[in-house]
Amino acid sequence: MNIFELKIWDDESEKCTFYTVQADGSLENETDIFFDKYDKTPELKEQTQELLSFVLNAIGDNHGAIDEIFNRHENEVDGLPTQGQLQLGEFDYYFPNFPLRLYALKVTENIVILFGGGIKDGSTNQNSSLHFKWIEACNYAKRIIEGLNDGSIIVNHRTRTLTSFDGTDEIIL
Amino acid sequence: MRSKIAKRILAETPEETKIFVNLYADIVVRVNQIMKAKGLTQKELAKRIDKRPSEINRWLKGEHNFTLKSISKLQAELDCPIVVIPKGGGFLNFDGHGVKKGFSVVHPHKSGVSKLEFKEANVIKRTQPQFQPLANVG
Repeated sequence: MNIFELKIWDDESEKCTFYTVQADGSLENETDIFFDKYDKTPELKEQTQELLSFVLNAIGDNHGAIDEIFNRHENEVDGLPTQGQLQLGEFDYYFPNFPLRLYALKVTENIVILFGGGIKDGSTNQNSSLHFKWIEACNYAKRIIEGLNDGSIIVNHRTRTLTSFDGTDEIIL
Repeated sequence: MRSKIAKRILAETPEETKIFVNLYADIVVRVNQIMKAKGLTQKELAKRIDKRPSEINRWLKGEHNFTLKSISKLQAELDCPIVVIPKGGGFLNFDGHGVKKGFSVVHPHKSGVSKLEFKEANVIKRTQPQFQPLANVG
């Protein structure tokens, strides 16, 4: 996997700070690429708005990443080294047959890392067109979890932030 | 800071969409929390309301479009209010995050619903009678 930066995507929500990842050489971060792409797809615009509102309002402002709504853990990543409440899951928003999936890593109830996602058009991730995005999210998550475990990424619970081992905001993995 | 793309999409999102999403999340969280507080498992709840556990799982994972009937059924079985409709006087405020209990502060710029106006409810103010030493003097 290439080098990527772990950077803040939203820190204006009342209960949760959202981070995202941006691959070295890429002009946009993965989460912006996801939302921008599906917002520009007319038949998915409404669902994109719902998903964004779910992330920023329901989770970010109202509840935080509590287990009651962050409950889509992927069986496939059970083998990951875990620490505390680290959970790789997906935001697919509460609604029947919701087509979009956005992958995320919950660091705490107040810090969530968002990756990319896609359309769940199959019964499983493996046979959906988002398979590649799911694998990619798992790989990002593995690297981040390694960083959290070996101390190269520090969790600051009080400020709801992640910093590099040297205390700077710039986290390059 | 907030992603510019998120800001743009959020600004275009209809207020009703935000309210719907928040209400839905609130209901799912509320049901889960009541079950946790009462020590009820999905299997036990399913047995009590004569449903399959998989159906309860769909409700709690949000794969079920809640209807008033399903909410009422859950409310009856959990013996706890899930949705509360405010009654009586006071103020009803919208803050863009769904309807909040009690009194809340309106942030017109944040909510984007500043065009909605809620008038102050009629409140009968009962004041303590002032002491009037000569009131009963004949």
